[in-house]
Amino acid sequence: MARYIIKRILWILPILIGVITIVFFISALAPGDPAASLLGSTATQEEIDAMHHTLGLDQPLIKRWFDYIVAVFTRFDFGTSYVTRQPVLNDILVYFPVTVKLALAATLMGVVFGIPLGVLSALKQYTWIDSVILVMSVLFISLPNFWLAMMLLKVFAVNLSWVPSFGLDRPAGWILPILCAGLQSMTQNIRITRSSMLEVMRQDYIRTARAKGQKEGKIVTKHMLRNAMIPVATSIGSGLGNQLGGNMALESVFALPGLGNYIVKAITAINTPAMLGGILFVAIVFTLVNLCVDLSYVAIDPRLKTRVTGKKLSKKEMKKMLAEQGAV
Amino acid sequence: MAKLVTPEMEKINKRRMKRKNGKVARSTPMMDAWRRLIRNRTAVLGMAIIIVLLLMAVFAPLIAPYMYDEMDVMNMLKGPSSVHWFGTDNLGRDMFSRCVYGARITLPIAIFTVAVAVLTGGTLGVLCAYFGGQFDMIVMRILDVWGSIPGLMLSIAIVAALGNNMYVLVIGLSVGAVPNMARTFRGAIFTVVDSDYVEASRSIGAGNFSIMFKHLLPNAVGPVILAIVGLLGVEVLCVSTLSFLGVGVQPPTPEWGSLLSTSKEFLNSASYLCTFPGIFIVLSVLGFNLLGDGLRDALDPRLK
Repeated sequence: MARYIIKRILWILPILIGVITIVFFISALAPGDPAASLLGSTATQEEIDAMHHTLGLDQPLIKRWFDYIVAVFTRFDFGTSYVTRQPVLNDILVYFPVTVKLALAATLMGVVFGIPLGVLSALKQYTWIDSVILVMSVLFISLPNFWLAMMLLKVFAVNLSWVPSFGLDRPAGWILPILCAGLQSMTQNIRITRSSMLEVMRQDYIRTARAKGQKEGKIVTKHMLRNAMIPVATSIGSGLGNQLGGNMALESVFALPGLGNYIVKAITAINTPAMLGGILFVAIVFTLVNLCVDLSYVAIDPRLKTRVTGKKLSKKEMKKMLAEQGAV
Repeated sequence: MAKLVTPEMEKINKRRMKRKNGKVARSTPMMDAWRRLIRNRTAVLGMAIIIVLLLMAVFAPLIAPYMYDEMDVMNMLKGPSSVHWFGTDNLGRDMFSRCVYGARITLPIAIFTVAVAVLTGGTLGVLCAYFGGQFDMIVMRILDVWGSIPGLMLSIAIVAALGNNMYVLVIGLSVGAVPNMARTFRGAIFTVVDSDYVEASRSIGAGNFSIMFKHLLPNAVGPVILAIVGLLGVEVLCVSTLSFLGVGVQPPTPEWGSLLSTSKEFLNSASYLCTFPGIFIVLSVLGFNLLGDGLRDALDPRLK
């Protein structure tokens, strides 16, 4: 077990170097000269050259790439934003908390409402309750969250004035963003809980439990839920990762000062260091969340634990099993 | 070799023969799945929505009462009426026509994106599962790195760097989708790669290529189809999200997301401008999702 964890943690380093490399070279392709756009149209060639030098843009690409990796890993230096002239990391630490709060609140909402509804839907399969929950969930999963955000803003902020249309200084300002982001993770949880429950409900051990006269309530909580929750736990984790990296449009509709908004602005302003730093930061968090998910997966499912750590299965069998579970 | 026919199979065969006037209807797992699919109401509804939207895209000039860029300065920001069903925007352009033409932008981009992602990611996944070993290890590690960047963010960065046109948009979006596609294909092929028929076809001299694409892929088609249909819905959302953020299709072109992006300013005064393009996005994503759900039930009837 310890070996597996250490292996996974060491693996983060090459992943991050790879991520830096990919994003660095993509951003190097970006059109436009940041020096020229910073100085404005009146700048002379000398001024632009001087600016290139201060920004380090006169160095060869490979050297810049190497320096960037060294700076990130030795000094946590993500570069300096062209626009704010601040270290990018400072900017990120200002914007990131909003994104984190939104993601956590949405995930919480998804868990609190999504899992019970999913369980209910599976237990009442073929009844109207199941149909209503299913129709609702397929509808919600098809909604672009930024459009939902606009519609809710129109109704609850503009027409009814129940909540402020932007600004987070009042707690009410959080309601709509959390609702929009949370509906998505709720739907995800409903669907996965339902199908996982349906799978578990058909297992032999459930029939055995019934046959020995176990109370129905206990069958649901002890026999079904505990087994059905394994895929749900992974989905919650990866959902959190997606919330952290994918709410850009939502943040833009509500004008939230979040990291997604920061990155989009950096991209449209050709603010390369800010974009690079922002995406890299999200990728780091994304990787760490996924690592935690994978490790917790092993911890939750005792079957997987023996398969990852023990020598009970042949290598081929293990690979096949992991591939089926999507863990590799 | 003697054929083993159970009484149950006999019954099914008899029923088939009756239906086809004496001719024995061929039955494959895929045809059974198709029969289950067309009996599934939600799947048919999903298919109908998609077909209607695709027809709308093809026949846009016949359906739309105006050209999508036809301005009418006398009728700016007019609400829905019998003349302009969805109202007009700030330049007096007919919103209904713009939405109809929007289907010509959003849907093809999404479909081509999925095609590119499936061709590249799918091929990688099949190769990985088939050859295994070092090759698999290296490709999967690269995909791990690739997949560590949230897909939408990667797409935005690529589109922003390479410029705004449809080809770049398709490439950018598919790059974001490749890692997942490759994993799905690989996982699906893994479950069949050790089958006896693979051994059998190899023993009669079939090449790697024909084993992979003639034997393995058709037998692992279930999860693959589900992933493709699911991705279509996701990509419609991604195209419109990118355009909404101002990175994808640019405003004069009536892409649904970019229509929403320009309408955003009129949320207080003319909210109908924001309502209708969104409904089209929802309908197309809903169509793909319903079809996907129906397909899952048809391909894996155990859970239904």
